[in-house]
Amino acid sequence: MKRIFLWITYFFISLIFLLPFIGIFFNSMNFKMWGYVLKSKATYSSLLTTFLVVLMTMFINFIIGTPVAAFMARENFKGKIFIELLIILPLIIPTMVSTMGIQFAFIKLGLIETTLGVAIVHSVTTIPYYIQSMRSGYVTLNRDYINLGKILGANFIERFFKITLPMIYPSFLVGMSLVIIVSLAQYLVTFIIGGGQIMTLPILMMPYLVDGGVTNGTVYSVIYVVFTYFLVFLINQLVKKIYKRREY
Amino acid sequence: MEKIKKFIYIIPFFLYITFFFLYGLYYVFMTSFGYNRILTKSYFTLEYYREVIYSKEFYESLIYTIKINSIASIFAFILTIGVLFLVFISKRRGYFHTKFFQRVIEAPVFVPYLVSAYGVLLLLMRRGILNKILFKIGIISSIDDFVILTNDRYGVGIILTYVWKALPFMTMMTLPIVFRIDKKWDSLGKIYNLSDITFFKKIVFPLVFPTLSISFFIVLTYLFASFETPYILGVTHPRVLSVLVFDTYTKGSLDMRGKIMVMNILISSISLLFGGVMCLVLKFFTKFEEREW
Repeated sequence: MKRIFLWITYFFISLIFLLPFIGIFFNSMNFKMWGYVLKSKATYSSLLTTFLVVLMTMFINFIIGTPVAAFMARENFKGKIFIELLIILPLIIPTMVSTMGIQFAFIKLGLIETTLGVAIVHSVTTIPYYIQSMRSGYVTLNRDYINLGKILGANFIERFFKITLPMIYPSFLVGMSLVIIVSLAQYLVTFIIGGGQIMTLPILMMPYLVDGGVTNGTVYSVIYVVFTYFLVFLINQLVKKIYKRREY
Repeated sequence: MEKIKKFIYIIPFFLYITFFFLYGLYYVFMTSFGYNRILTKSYFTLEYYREVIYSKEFYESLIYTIKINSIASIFAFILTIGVLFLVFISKRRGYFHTKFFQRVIEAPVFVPYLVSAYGVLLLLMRRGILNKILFKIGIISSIDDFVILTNDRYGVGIILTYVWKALPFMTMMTLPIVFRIDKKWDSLGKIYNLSDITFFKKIVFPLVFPTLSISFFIVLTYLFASFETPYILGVTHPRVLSVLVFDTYTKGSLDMRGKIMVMNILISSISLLFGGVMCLVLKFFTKFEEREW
């Protein structure tokens, strides 16, 4: 008796969780809309822009975030708490605020309405996630492996790609997945810096969503979610393929 | 020299965050005090602060935001405990495998707020799916009978979306702990012959509570500046703070900048306050948790 009751509760909870998905899914079952969206050039160019922004964001995160993660996991120094605070500050203070502040500087630098400018703002938003997950990887890494690499004469870059990364690649994957998810979800900061010129997917979708009509919005939503999953899947497969194949 | 060499690791990050984050904050801060003005000469003034603090609109938005956020977070908090209890019972009794259920519950975490707000909108609006289903079954006699749940004054749609997004997050954070507890403390429960509910109340809940409260504060801080959901599901009059700022930003003229920056400063300060509380809670509970268990 109790078992059946639990089953029913489970079923209902799952249903509630899936309902909004089902709504989007059923409303998008309209081939005319799919045809319209898939034929329009804006869809593809926005997908490309989004991809470029995510790629640049990932690159910036990788270049800037990885050394800090390594350093923070290994060393203890005076003022560590200060750096710690700097790392989590973009999580606490909304990046909307700082973005409005740097907008003027971006105008002067010519970064406004450029893909690079958007990527920079996105990377500020995502860097705490990346650093935290990389850090948890670095904590588990034994330093002796690195020293061994040093003894064998591997240089800095070789040590990273051949020793460190293969060992902590799960954390790397988590970090990169988070970067992709968070970067793709940004609307406001993209709008402020992109000024409506840099058409990422959320910017393209927003007008369709606000009026609430069942227009192309549903189709774009499906594309959006699928694209997010696809990118996460892609990076997962890529890294796994590179590092799983070899025997370490 | 060796010491300086080490710090090369953090210098790029330090410069980057200073240029692109701290400088932005600094600019916002100075503009709110009347410096860096674009149109007129800049001088120190508290006029913007006075304007914002005395404006009814800001005050109403602030109250509205805090109300919606806290209701959503508290609901999510309570519901998470319910879900944890369910999972705990079925795991303990060995009824069935919870992996699939876990996957289902965690699914919304990876969906952007934009899409989830839209999904809730499609589901609950006047011509939405739920309404149509109820109409077909015959529970409501006409489509207009359906209560307004989206774009409503009280922000029901917003709260529902927030809960729908926050509950999976909280569950995701705490579920591993529940599984761990069950393994370790099961024998104790058997010795004392504790019923499921007492076991949950006396052992599971106190151990889960630290993580749960931390995720509660994370959600609270995050929702405070969340923009997409209230933008899609909200109404024009009681507006959430971030929407208010955005609207003033896009529609207002350049001399409104000072006011916007003051609002930004206030938003950041409140977020920082939440963050500070979060930090204290974290500190308090990590001591608590470090006792062996």
